[in-house]
Amino acid sequence: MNNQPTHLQEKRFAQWFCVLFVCLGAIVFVFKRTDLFPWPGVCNPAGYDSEHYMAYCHSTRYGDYEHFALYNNLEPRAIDALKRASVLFLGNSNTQYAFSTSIVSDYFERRGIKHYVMGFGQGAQSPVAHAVMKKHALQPQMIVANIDPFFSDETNGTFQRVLDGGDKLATEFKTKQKLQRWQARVCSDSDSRWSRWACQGTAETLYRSRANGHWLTDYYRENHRHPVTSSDDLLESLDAAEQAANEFINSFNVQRECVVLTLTPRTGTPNQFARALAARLHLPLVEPELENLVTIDHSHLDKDSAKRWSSAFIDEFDQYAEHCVTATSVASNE
Amino acid sequence: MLFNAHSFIFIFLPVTLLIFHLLSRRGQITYAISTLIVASLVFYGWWEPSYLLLILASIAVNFCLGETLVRCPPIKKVRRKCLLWFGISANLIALGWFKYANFLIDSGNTVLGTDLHVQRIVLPLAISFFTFQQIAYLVDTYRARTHERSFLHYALFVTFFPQLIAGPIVHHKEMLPQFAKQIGGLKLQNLIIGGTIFFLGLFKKVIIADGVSPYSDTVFAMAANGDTLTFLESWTGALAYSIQLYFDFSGYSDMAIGLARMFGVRLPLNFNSPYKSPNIIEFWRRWHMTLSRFLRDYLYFALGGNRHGAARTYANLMIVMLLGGLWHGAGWTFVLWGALHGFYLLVNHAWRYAMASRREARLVTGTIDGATQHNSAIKQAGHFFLGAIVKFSAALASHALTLLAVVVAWVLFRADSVEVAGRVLAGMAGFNGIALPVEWLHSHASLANSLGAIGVQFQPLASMGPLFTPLRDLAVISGAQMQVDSVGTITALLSLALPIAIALFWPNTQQIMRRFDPAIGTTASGGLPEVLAWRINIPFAILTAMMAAYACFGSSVASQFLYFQF
Repeated sequence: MNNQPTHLQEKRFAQWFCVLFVCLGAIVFVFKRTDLFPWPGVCNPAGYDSEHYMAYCHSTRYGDYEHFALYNNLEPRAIDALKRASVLFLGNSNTQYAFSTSIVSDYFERRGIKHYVMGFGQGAQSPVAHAVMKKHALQPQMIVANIDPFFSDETNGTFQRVLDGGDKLATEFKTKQKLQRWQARVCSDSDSRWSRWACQGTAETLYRSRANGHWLTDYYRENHRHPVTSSDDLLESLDAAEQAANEFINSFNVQRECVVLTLTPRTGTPNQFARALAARLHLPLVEPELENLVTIDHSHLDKDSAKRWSSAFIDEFDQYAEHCVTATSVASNE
Repeated sequence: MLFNAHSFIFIFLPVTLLIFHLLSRRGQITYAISTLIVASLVFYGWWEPSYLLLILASIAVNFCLGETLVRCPPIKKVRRKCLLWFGISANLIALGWFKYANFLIDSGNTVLGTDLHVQRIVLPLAISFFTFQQIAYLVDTYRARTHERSFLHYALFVTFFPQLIAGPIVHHKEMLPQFAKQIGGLKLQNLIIGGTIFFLGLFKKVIIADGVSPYSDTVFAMAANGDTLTFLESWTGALAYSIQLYFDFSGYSDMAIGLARMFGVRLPLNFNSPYKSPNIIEFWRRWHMTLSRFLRDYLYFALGGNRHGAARTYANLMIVMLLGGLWHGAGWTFVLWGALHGFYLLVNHAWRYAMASRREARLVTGTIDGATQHNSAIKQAGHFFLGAIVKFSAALASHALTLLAVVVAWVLFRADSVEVAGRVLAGMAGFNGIALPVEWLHSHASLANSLGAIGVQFQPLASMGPLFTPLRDLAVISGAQMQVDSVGTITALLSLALPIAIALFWPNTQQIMRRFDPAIGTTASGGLPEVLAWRINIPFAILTAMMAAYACFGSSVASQFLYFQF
């Protein structure tokens, strides 16, 4: 051990270390502990309006909002709309991309039926929908389930965290709620001195309509074009899906003939699985087959494909809706 | 209490250091040592206070036995032997009851078809470690190799919190003299060096080990669920666990060494870059070195070591590895893991013996046949370059084979049952086919075609099971999780590749800290250029502070160390 450090060197080391550790520690703490310090300033703020809130921002600084918000009633107008909806669309993010079209909203508006597209991202399946429906005592007259897959007993990680989370999680999401309201206000005011901090974000962002649950996807992901294909995936999970489907349907006061299954197209669409499950459950499957559909990322339909596909879906769906909803919708919605 | 918990780093440790320092500065060394013992017991009891009785009883009984042995004249050989065997048996019975009773009863029920039941026994933390330390103390007292007689020092030797829970397994010979002579009064240099080693260990644990654990956890959970694992999934899980275990345990050892150094105590080295080993024999000289040392000194040598011929040597090796496996856990997977490593060692020793015999034979032939030797020399000179390539390739192959053998064995070590291990190993062997996410190659159709021609399947990430699903869709959960999307799957694989590269090529903690003699058994050379070796100056203060800040605040949860379960 030659060149032993002097006491002065040791003192200097200790001083530098302590000062830097405190400063860097504070910075790392704020940046890494996004559960305590979320920040929507990194997210694209272009989608805010009186109807839309930020459902998800693809950044570790913000992440998911809507799983917690819808389950714990952080968006009261959205929950009101859910409670009033006669037709609920359930499923994952593919559901959101396929049914968040003007074709769908126009159809229901024309018919005077309230609907809500209640798919969730991050691979959500029936336990998420089930929990939200039970929590808010939703009583739709009709359910459209996108079985891609949907019926299972698997809760996605995001929602599990919501279920497991205590007060700490409530603080995190209430902070997110306040921050996005503040951001919406700041970014609508071009003179705001905060706008350069809060409104320059570019992270991909999804907004959800409080009125009908449609996602605003304009600010999320590039438009690649991957053709839709089919596959024999998921056949091995048929038994489990059948059991979960029966349990799900029986736990709500919805007539069985008013549960419609569907399957949104993607790369490797599990058509055989969907048909087999529909046959086992004796439920209608609305599965329009169109040419030249494309997805932006192998999973989610692009805008044009979503429009064409949802239009074809509505044509076929109408017969079921007529039977299940039309007669009672106006009365129930008033 | 965990070393990586904020309550430990910012409350327990500073308070203990402060009280210890104040008492030592006043010359009250006895009180200072007592404070350390009490702090260590608080540290231990934090987990389950009722097991404090067990460790206190263990210390008292072993110390009394040691004292009785010392006082018993050497002439009373039988009495001394009886005392020793009583001590060893008492320790092993306690260990056996808490650690192996459930396992033995379950195994007995399976084999004999009986239906015996005993209440599930919770394994007391660290029992394997403090039992071994005290058995070694008793054996050496019997051999008249212990000289320190202070109860306080003995109690601190067993309970000293830096090494109490998961080692290194310290030897009284290297600890008690330090407590007698060196301990007392904090030195700034020791605080700086110890702190740096501690934060290096914390970084290894929190950032690297915990960073890769989701991959291994996912794969082994899939296997436990009965899912069929493909080639890529199985290897991801096995490699991730190999990395996780190494950085977790060596990180813990670094933290222990660093903490002890803060109090002026040097602990023995426990890891020396084991994944850089060229063969299994070398691996066991570098992995959990203090356990290997214990097994060698108190089991292998006691069985006769290599003094009774090749067959007996191999049998002894196998016994030692089987018991070493069983020491890690009461389960057949650990027994098989030990047996597999025993087998590796036998093969390695046999290979060495065969190579040595061949060299000897060549030497003899060369001496007899001068012409052959001459020709050989010419050839060697002529093919020097080729020879270097062959040598390098052989070394590379040897390293790769060692690593492969170790990773395969870790599957047994990690799996909950032999069936689960079998599923992962079947996947690694390619029995379940090879499937790659189609998203990876959508812009390289020709490569996809070529791979397809050799039987590689391509599936969308959506249909590839839970290992890949999180990488696709569970990308950003609420900010606290990793950010990976379909393109970022490569990033996920890189997150495994980087720690592997660090384990294989980066200098280890003792090499980085070599100027300050970080641990007992540190070798002073190798690893990195002298100019890069850590030293006490401002640039390294900045680097250390950056690493410490990230390690301390980079994670919101304090996860348990893997070796706590042993």
